[in-house]
Amino acid sequence: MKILVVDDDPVIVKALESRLSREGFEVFATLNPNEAVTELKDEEKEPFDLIISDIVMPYISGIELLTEIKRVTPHTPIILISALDQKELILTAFELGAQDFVVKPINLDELLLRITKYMPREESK
Amino acid sequence: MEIDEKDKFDVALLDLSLTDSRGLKTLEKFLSKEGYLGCPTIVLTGYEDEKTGFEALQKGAVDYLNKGKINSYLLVKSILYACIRKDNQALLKAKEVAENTAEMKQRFLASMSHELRTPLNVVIGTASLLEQSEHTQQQQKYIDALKITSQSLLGLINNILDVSKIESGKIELENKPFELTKVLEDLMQLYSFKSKDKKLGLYKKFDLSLPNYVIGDSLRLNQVLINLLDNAMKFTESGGEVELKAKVIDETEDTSTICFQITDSGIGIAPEKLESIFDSFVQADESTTRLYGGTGLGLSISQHLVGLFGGQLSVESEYGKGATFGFTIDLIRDKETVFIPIEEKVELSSVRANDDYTKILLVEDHDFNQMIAIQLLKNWSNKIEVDIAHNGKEGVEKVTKNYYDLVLMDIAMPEMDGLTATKMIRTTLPDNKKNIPIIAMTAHALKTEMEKCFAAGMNDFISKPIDQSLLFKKINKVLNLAEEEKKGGIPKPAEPSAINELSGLKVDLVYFDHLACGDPDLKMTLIKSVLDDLPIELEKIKVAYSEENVEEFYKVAHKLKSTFGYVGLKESPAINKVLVRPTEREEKFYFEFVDFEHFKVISKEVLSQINDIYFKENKSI
Repeated sequence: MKILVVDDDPVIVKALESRLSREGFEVFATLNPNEAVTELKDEEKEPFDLIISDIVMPYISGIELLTEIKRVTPHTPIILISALDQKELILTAFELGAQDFVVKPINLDELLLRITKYMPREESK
Repeated sequence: MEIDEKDKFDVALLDLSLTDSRGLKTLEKFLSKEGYLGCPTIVLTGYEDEKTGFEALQKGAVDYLNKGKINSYLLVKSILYACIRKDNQALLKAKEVAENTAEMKQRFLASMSHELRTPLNVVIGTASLLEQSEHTQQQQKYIDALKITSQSLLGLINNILDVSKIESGKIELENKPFELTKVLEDLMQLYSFKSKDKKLGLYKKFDLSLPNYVIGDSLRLNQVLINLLDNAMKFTESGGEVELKAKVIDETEDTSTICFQITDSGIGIAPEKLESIFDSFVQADESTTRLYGGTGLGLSISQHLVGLFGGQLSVESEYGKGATFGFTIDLIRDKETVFIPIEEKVELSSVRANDDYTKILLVEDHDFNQMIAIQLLKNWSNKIEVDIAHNGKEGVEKVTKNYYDLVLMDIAMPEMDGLTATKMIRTTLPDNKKNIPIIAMTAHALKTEMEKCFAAGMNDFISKPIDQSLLFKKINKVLNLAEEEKKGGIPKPAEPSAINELSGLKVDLVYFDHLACGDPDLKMTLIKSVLDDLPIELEKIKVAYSEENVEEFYKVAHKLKSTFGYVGLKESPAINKVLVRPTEREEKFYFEFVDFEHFKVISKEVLSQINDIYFKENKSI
């Protein structure tokens, strides 16, 4: 299963990259939302099965990124990383088609459980 | 399948054993709005077919049973769970509806009582001012009428709140000393105007042995008597008579048993109606409502209140000849309280060493309320200087710029409310300003409102309409306390708040253990990335601050907030004060008050603590 992680926070990016790879996922993690979009658009590469994205990032908002992701790959599930006080934003994100969210500071075990939910059927245990 | 018997089944079992898509389509149809049975559906799937079961669950089935594994226990268990689930959902829904209704009612009552109190505050205040201006004896009587009626109206507004409290069984009597004879005489005075208007005879018969001072709930007693007197007046024609009787029928060492009776010569009540007149919303006759008005709540509330006093409200009546309502209750005689005659004035305590004026800032948006408060204060003492701010924002600005001894703060105001303004004063102003005494003046008399005021950092609370002697007492109290603190205070070091906050600032990197999942190298890598990244972000926020770029400032702040969160400082007030983004409306204003120098000191400390831990742990690996 291939996962895209995008967050402007290097701690999150590094931690997720390491933990998810260890769990056997193929991970592409980046600090740069534009790079994330380029990677998504690259048709030569195998498509992503899941996207984990921060909802607030400087220079491109999570919402803008979400809209862009939905345009490029409308069926890929998206889990958002957000702060608790961003209820409005989370609601908007759901309207735009996000599937799920986790709250900062992230609990990795919870995130993994949520990821399992979006695994393609044949991989689920 | 035709489904015309909705809501008649508790559980549906649907066989999807054909592993084609038709089975699932049937389920979809089954669960769609048009075909919905209104009951949980369990599907049966074919041998070896778990996939269809999963898909059915996603489509809304409550459970699935594999035909290959099914037995009677599994089936019963599945059905039982489905039933419980159904009941549970119905319960949850009912609970939600009930909670919503109760909440709406509470909100409605709170806002109603606020809306009604605001204009009434003006009436009561104006009457007080009128009384203090020059006037004739005749005019004094009018003023008295104004004062008493507006006070009783205030009591009635409080009654509106009572109805809901009674319904939820939340009403409780107070036990406070009061002057029984004064309560009764005041009532007679109040009704003497009404009886003259209606050309009724009003009589009193008070037992000479009535105790003067008793302990109990004067407001509730008053409320019952007012309800009964109102009724008596309402149902008696001109030329008739109304009498209030109070008689001591028994005495023990501590208590007096007193019988109150209100007798009228009005229309009376038909015998068959006597029983039901104490029910809510019931009057003797439907035509009564048309003729005499009223809600039919008064007697019901009164009976309930008398019950709380330990008595019972009774009625005797001969149809066409009048009625007598009465109740008997025990009141504790008060031997200790010394009542301060009203004439005795509360003096502005001369707490200040020099003979300076006491400077008060009144933060209030309502013109009339401003006028009343200013006049009250000026009449009280000529040593008071009052300054006005029209909203919370202006209030904070004035406190920042000028010196005041005290702030009187309204709560509901445009631009910025009193709670926010108080929080700002308490958190963003320098030490010599932030502890200024603040008294809330609010039309919300609810306890929750009072708690909010204290939580915001106010020193005291007074509800409108303002009881002037209470206000004066509270002003004296907070001024005295403030003065004592000043005198008793130990001289503080130059930057006390920064130093105190630094001593409580302790970086905790336990979250990194969680992130690294037991991998020490990864933990170090993660901490290192904070050490690399944090100074860059701090530089960014510094630039944004110096360029007064509010948007950029809070953008960087958002990220810093989560970084400080990782290192165990999520709850640090010193950090949150700067980094938590206020609402859009207030952010420019908050930005002006950001103590960035202080923040720099704090972040430097945080960085150095992380650095220390990093090098210590790195060595030990």
